[in-house]
Amino acid sequence: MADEICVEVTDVSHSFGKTRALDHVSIRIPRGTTVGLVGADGVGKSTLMSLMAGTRIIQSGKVEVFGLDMSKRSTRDALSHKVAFMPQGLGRNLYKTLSVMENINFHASLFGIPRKERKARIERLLEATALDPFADRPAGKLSGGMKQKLSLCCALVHSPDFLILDEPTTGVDPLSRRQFWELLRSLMKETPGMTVLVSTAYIDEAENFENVVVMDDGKIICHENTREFIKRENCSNLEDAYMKALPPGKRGKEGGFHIPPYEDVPGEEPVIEAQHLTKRFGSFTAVNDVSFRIRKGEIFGFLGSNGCGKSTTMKMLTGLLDPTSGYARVLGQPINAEDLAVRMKIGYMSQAFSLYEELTVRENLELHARLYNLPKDQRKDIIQKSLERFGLTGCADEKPSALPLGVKQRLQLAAACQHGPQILILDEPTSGVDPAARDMFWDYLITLSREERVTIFVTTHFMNEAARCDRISLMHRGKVLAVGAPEELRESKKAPTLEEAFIGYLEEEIAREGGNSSPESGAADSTEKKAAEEKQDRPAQNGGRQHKPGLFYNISIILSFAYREAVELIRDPIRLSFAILGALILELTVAYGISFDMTPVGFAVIDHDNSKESRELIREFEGNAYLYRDENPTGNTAADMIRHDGVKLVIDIPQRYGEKLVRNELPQVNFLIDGAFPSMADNVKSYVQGIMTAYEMSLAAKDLRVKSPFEVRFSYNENFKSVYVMVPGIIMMALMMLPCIMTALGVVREKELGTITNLYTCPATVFQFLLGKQLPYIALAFASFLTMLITAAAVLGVPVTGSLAALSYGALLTVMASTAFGLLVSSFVKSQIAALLGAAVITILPTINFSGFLYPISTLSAGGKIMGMAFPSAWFNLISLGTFTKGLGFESFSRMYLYLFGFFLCYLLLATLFLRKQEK
Amino acid sequence: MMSFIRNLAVLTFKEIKSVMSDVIMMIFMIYLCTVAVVMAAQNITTEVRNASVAITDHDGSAISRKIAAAIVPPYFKRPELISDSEMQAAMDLGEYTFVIDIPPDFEENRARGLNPSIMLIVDATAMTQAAAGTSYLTSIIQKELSFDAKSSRLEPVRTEVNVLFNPNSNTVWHIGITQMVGALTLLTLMLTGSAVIREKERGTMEHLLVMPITAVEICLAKIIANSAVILTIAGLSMWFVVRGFLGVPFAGSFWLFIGGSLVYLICVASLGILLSIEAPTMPQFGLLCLPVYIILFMLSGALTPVDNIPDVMRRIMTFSPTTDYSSFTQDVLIRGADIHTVYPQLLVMGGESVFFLILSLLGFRSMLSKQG
Repeated sequence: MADEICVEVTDVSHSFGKTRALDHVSIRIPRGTTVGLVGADGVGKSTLMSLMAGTRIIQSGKVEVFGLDMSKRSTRDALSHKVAFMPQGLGRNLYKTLSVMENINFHASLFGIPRKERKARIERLLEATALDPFADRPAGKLSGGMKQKLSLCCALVHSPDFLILDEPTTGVDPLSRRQFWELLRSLMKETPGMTVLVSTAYIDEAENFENVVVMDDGKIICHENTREFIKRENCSNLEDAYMKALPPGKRGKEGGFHIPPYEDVPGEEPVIEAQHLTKRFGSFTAVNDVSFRIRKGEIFGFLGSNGCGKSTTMKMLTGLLDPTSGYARVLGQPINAEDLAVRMKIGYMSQAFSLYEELTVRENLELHARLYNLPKDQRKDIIQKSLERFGLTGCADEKPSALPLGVKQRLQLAAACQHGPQILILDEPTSGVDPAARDMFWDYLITLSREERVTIFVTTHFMNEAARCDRISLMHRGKVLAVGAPEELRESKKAPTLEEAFIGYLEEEIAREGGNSSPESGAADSTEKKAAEEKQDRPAQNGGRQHKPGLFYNISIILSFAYREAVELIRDPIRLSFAILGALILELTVAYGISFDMTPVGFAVIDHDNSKESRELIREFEGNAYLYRDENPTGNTAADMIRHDGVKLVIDIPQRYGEKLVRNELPQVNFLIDGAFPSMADNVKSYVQGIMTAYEMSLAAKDLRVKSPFEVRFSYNENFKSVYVMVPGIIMMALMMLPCIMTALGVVREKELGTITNLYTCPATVFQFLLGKQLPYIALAFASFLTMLITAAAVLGVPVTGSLAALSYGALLTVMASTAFGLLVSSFVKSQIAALLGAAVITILPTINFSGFLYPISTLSAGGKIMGMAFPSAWFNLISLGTFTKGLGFESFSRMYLYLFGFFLCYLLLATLFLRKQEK
Repeated sequence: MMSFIRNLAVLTFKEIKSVMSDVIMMIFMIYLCTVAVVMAAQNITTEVRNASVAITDHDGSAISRKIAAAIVPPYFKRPELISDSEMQAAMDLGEYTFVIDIPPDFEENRARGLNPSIMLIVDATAMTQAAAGTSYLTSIIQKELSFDAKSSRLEPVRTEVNVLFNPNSNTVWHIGITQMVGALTLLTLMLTGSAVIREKERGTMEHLLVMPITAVEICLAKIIANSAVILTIAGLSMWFVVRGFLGVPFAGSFWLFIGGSLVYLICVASLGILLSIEAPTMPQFGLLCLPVYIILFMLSGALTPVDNIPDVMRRIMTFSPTTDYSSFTQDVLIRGADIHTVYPQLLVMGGESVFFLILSLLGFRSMLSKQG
């Protein structure tokens, strides 16, 4: 077993645009080993791992996992049951609105683990990670450490043979980090055959792994046994050995830091002062009675787990948040969000990347330079200096979206420092940054502090960084546990290292709170105990773990996706109500507002003749129900009357009209019609013709009894009421456009939030993913249809005269097609805005104009007809109108049903083709 | 004040860059202002044109053939002769809007002075065609019949009908301009609103707020930038596509139109910001934005004449900027109105712009102070 190969990578290269991420990499990892992968940012660690996990398309070279070729789709599908991948970033594979239990359950169900076994496994994982008291808490509300543990649970739920973890402890506090590694170790112990590959920014953590792989510049520069590596480099620990292995320029600060002692200037006002600061969000207290004073030029460190209130405190100091109680002063003044002068003196760097992805690195810095009003003549120099200082020259004209996390962090720090602030507030500036770059950061910060007396307020998870601060403050769950110089704190706990001291403080606090309530406690020991028991269970598990192929499993995957999407949807009441109410309001306004009913229009007369005959003619028009006369028009010419008085028709009777008429000289009457609205002009024209025909006939045959030779029957809609046409039409529009908008964001949003990796790593197909995603929206859209239907009958008085079932069936098929169309749009656009706009832009034209709703299809020109028929709306409009107004049933629509179903299938299949199951 | 203008300029420039950087989105925008406008304008008719007519002829006499021959393009397609049995199914599927039913022995009974009647069956669900089409058809047939009766007589009065501003009742003019109104509204509403949401979701908003710039500057920059980009695309499209390609002659001043459009776009952009405050995530925003757009547009008098909108609704819709804008464009571009005629509309639109702008600035500020 041990000599078997787990992964074999041969001559793999990978580029992103011009950047080369991997350069002819070859590596072989034997089965059952544990490997730590270390290297600076952007050297290709994440790329290599994602290639091994099969979530990225291989550009060149060969990747074999368990002897199978990862470039083949069938291999990836088969191996997805054996490989688990936890992507970089806090809780990237988690759904924030889903609870802990729901997240794990979702992952488990994707792998088709039988319910009974699943329950046992989840319980055990939750217990091992001490997450069991929080099973119902939404993932978005967990602390960083808990998120990572949950992510790990999700990755481990299908008992993989090969576990790939990409920087699992970045951004996690030391206690949680320690617990995380203990958890992983005990899980590895009970699963002897499992191969584990972990990348980490904390080099010391990699020391616990059997083998170490060092990467630099897209190449592997070292792969050997960790102990031997340290011995060979003649060092005492891995961190030093790693530094030595790197080329000289990249080693960071050698020989440690020299930090000049902080000199207090007596009598100076504190630069930052917080008194009893408290911030509550609803019932949750994020910051609880925090007080501290920071002196000018001091480096003040904030330590604590994610979600302990560090970021919230910082936001209050920058004025981004108002405190619930207590107060803070910055530069001697109370914080006032309106005070721009103070903002000029502060540099802030937030935890998440918060610069513009669509602007290049240089443009981002330029934007800052301009907004901070740096002098024009120096701007260029300053930007150039920032680029050089933070090693950004090489990527100055690239967009941040293409850059690795560490480089982005450097850019953020560059932006925060560029305007020469007096205070720097830095929220985890070094998270995800490699050691060499971290040293560079600190070198710069120390210079700023000591030489320019810039006050620096910084949060960090790195203990060696904390040790460089003048004073640090330990925070836990909104409270400050201790404040003091690092050395003092260490001594007061009598701990060998600052890290131990910190953990000591945390454990003391947790004990005081009463052990069990804490998420971070007791994780490791329970695992150890469990490990032995679990070993006996394993054979059974192994047997059951084989996934069940076949129809049932395939359907259950679709249902898992559907269930997850539905839960998310249900937890978003705003979206639900918009979906239902939006359609209703649309229905009501259009039904009441749009009318083709004949309403009277105004006309004016210019009578040059003013004879008995001309007045007789005018009377004919005055007598018409669809016309009314504007007696006193203000305009002089016909055109002016139309422009100013709003009349649609001007009758111009020339001089001698009556005289000519009597003499049978064929007098002429001019009718001037407003042509701005052609359909209106048309109606007016038809009135004129109708009235004139009748008038002439009465002139011609005064003696003859004229009876209209017509009998006109308006079928389907005897009273000619618009509402009977508008309601079926607007229901068609609502069912086409709103569901499409709902799903249009589906895929692209997962891409932006990162949860799309779950699709890449799980054994589901793209088709199952899409169809599952679609189901809840079909249900929602259909519910919206039913409410519109009831409103039509109950409020608007437009009942279905034909078959209700035929209409409902058509509506179901239509929402299937329109939600599928939304997914299709979502599968090829890159941003949410584009998806939204695209879905609206593409559907609007065929739905409003070519569906036969406003303009009968039979009158459209050939092009319009094709456009209309190539979209579901025209077909459903026939069903909607047919069942509502024309009294038709199933037998009339068999062709329409067929087409609608065809649209659904076609859109879904196209979306499946566009959406890849791997990244580029 | 200087710094206000400078910051505004910098932020506006950044915003324009952001909009232009999303290629797929730009393609959608350009599509909507060019291809979509042309397709709609060339394919739809709002007046009676090409209406489909069928005849069920039970008489088979000379007069029934004469009636058939009188029904000609462009108003009507050549009528098709169908049987009674085909009629119902064909009408159910909307294949014919009008069916003329000539009874047996029509000519003979007429000659005997019995006044037989022709049945005209109209599909009243074809709202845009039914009324005017009926009137035309009855006119045509009546003329045929009266000529038949008094074939020697001429009409006593010459009726000269002139359609002003659009002499040939060319729908392309109307639809082309209407579609642009719709496109402008949709684009501005969606882009401005989602620009706010994107900044919030990506965290860049937070970053802007710690910089020495005010919420008002951020908000105004978004409104100006999006309006400017869309106005540029729309202006070019109006000139080259609507005027050039579709051949719509602009009766009034193009620059007056552009000026009015700017006022309108600022108003819609402010509305977009208001919506983005109400619906803070992208999926919510999309669901809110679309119905708002459809209502604004469909009831603006762009698709159906404002005069046709029932009273209560019309009064409500007078508060909608789209209603004013759509009447403004019709006045300027088709009726050739000058500034003396349209200044009331401009004033109203300006007032609405200021109103929505102030609302959105206030809303934006309070939204930012609440976020955390």
